[in-house]
Amino acid sequence: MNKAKELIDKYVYDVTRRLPQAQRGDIEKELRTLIDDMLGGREEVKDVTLVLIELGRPSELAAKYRGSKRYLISPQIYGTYEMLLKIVLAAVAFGMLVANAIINITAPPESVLLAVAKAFGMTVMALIQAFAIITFIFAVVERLGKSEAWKNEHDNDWHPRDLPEVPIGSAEIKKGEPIVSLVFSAIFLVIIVTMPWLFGVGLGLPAPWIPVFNLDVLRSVIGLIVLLFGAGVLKEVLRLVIGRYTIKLAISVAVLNILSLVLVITVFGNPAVWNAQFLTDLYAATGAEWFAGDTAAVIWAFVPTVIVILSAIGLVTETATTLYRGIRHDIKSVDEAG
Amino acid sequence: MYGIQYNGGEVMELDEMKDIVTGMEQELRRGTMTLCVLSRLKTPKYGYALVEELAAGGLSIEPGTLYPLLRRLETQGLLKSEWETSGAKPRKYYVRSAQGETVYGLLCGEWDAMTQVIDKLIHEEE
Repeated sequence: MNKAKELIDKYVYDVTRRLPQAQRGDIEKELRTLIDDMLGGREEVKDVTLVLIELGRPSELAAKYRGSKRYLISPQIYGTYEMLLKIVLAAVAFGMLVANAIINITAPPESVLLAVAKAFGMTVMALIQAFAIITFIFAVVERLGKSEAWKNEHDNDWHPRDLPEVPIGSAEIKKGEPIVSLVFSAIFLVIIVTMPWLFGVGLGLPAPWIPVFNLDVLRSVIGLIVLLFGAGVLKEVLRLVIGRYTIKLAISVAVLNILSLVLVITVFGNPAVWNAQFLTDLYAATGAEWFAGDTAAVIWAFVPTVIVILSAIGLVTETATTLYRGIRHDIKSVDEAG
Repeated sequence: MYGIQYNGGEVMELDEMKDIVTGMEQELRRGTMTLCVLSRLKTPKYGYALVEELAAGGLSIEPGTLYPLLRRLETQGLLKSEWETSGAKPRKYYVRSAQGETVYGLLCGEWDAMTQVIDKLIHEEE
């Protein structure tokens, strides 16, 4: 009898623990009476076993009580999630491969086996992190998507006129370009976070080289650098997902590029982030008089400004072309629609 | 006998056909279950009594399906419930609410119309 009761207790507990607190007490009472009814006076363990088998797996019974299915990432956005996951994971894996190749070429490892193991370990860690970040972002989107406002905009009153145009010719964004950008972003980010001295001068010196950055200062602004790359990655992801030039995309790109420019100015426009000892160290390492001269000093002093100007030109050009194409194609599709 | 040549569903094994029919039948039952349950709840009844009553009437429904369904109908406002604790075991009795009466009436109308249409479709020669 006790064995049988214990079995029932375990079953009821296993069902109710999966339910919202508020419903547990009620369902537990109901379930116990139900089992009792189904037993109809029998109380052997084998009878209880048969009844519980009839009621079925506790997780399934609890799911029926809960009603709606629960998703971390629902079928509506799963397709996009899977596509992005593939692209980003491939980019990260390729980025780590290149980064490790660079490390091992610049600083030949003592043991090849050890270097391969290390590269493998780093790649796996990076892949897990990328996977976690993307999954987290989509899980957040999933939760936000449940909000009423989003639903009103997306579920109700769908009309064929809301269908996006099939991109014609130059309106379509080819997947290759954003993917290449993502791959290079991944490589760059890996290097600047893990081996910032690689941005430097080697001249057959043993690693680490003479870095162009002040590594301590660089480390202190690494969060901003990650944010800068994050903005770039988000931009490419938007390009991939939207897949065509639109005003919406253009505005997003503009906002992200403004953010990027502010970050570039803050990080790389700041003279402190550059290695003040760069020329002195180069002179010490090479003995070349030119590095100690005024010309070199003036050029080196201009580097932050030049980097900022080049970035500004690049970002402004990109923003302008994206805006131009977005406006042009959006207007064209509006015209064609009537 | 899984080695049978199979082209575009031309050759189908009996087992496989039975599976398909079972699946479709389950879908049909799932859709009509609510109507059957509502039909028996003019007077208050508890879950297991309903299972037995429906089974006696030729409709077998698993308690694991019926109990959650009863709760869902209550949440939707079609059923009211009350705990009866005076007996040996506490029992929850369900009965159609005023709203449930109206919905049940409308649903019956839909059912009659639908069965007429379907009857005509499946019994009339093309």
